[in-house]
Amino acid sequence: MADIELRGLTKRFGKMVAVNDVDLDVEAGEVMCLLGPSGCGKTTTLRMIAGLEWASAGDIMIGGRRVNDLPPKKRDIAMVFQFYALYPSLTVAENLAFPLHAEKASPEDIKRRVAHIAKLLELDHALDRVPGRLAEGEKQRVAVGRAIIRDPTCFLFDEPLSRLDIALRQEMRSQIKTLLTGLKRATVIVTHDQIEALTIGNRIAVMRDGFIEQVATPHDIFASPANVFVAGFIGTPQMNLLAAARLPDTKGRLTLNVLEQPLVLDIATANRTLPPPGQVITLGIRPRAFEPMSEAGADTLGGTIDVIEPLGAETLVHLTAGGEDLRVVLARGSGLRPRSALRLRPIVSQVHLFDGEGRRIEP
Amino acid sequence: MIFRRKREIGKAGLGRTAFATVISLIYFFPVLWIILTAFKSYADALAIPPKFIFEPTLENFYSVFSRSYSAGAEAVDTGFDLFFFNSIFIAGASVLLALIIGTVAAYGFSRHPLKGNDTYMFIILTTRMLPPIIVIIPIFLMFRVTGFAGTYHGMILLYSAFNLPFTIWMMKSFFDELPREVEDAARMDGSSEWRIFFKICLPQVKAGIAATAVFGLILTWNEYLFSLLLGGRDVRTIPVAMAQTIGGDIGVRWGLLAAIETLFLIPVVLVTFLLQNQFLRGVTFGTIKR
Repeated sequence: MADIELRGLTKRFGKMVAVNDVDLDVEAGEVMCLLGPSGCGKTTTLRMIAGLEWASAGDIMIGGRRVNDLPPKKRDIAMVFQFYALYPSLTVAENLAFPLHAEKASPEDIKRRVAHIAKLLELDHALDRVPGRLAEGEKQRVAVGRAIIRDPTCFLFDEPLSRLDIALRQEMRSQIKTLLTGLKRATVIVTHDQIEALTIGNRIAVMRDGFIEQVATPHDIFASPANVFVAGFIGTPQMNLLAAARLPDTKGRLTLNVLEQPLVLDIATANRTLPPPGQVITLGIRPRAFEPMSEAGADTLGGTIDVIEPLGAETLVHLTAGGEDLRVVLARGSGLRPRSALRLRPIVSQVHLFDGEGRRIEP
Repeated sequence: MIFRRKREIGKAGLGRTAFATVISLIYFFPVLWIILTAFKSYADALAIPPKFIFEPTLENFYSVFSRSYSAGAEAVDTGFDLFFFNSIFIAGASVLLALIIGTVAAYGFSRHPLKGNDTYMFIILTTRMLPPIIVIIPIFLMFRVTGFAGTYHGMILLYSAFNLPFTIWMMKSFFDELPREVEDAARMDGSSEWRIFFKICLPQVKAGIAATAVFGLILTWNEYLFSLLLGGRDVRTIPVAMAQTIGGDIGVRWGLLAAIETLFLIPVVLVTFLLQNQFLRGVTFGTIKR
């Protein structure tokens, strides 16, 4: 049985449905990242688990107990807020001790646990300061410390790293990952940063417009996105999603008209649930799933180079083909010139197909 | 040669500072004149042209509390010690009462809005839209019937009622500015709603409380009309007693009046001075987004 179970969870604000019939299980020790663009309902979902918003419909189960009608303090959860939400008038030590007062812990116990957390998060030097006099990274650590000083069934993080600068963010990302691995609690992290989700999460739930689009491991969500939205949302630079009309097969191989060019992919059409020839499907190819070719062939696409962006180790090339933009990342880009022609072969094993409604067609 | 500014950008130069000083002095002059007059003898106070250099005397300050009402008569107690106590006690207690009720009410309006919250807030404000003199007759009758006239609790309740709308509006705007996330965090950490109010919210609006208190104190401290009509003999406040001091058998004693005014200024200056850091933060609260 999972430590957090959401069943048909729905939140309506007037006529607007912010969270729509969400089902989600988070096992003990598992880190679940809710990932999605702003306004997708991920924070509302988190706040409903926390008890800061009432659910309009559905069940929230924590540790096997239905908690819909319980106030936050009776749900046995701790939360880290986006803007840290430290108590401005209390010192760091008092901030850390705050949740323990509600537990009616003894003064010795409080002292011991505050000291333990301060050591763990390297806050010993700052215990007597008020939050206003802390650096961003220290505030972040106090916020985390205040959550983990208790021993709740699960942890909730709301955009925990969004306020940190890039260097600090990388450092905190690995710190939090290490910390969460050690805590072995069901954890839900809300984020809009896919790198954060991919690196910290054991599983990722991608949300859009109140719905969960896909729940999968970081690897699976990248390797086999469930639909066009997830495919386009995960991965940088963004996956090329190309409208492709299916043509009659060439020797049993899938043949498409894409970017106003015929393209034969080395995919056997037999035993596959593909739309019949004449139908339009979506062909998804990540920018790194191309090989540059010197000669034209039935399995290649041609385009004209538009813009060249060196990324250091690699080069991002924007091409125009058939009136559309094509993003390609090449390992070497020294010989490239704008307005010159380039031929590319999609790496068939990394090609994604989506049907007319944007759903993944399994290979 | 490159033109270089001699001073830092944003710092006023000598000319502007001097200009500002002159304007401030013009505003401050009446107060200064009152303080000077308080230390003048009867003759010096009336001297024409006005004297800036004179031999200071404390005579006026003694007369505030004890003096003879006709030439040659024995000096008697004027009762001003009581009137000073009245002013301090009534202003202090009524502002405190208004702050206690108003802060809790403002928190309620801010955090647990009623249906039609804005209407309630508006109605509260309308009680301050009329000039006080309009409501003097109903209030006078109410005080007659209840026997509140001429009592401390009557005056304190009256001034609290006057201070309440202002307190509620001020404090609500301070509470509205506080980040809700901090309260949510306290809720998650197992705090009761009252603990959140006292431990988390109140400390954050200290500056607002100070600003509201100073405004309320000045308003109440200077109030004349209701004190005159409802204060009666024994709970008279300084403004009323001061007005009654004008006149006398040898004409207006300016030095005496100035001495009363000087003493009258001290508590306000003191309170404002003590609270000024909080106060300044209070009046500029929320003008800068974080």
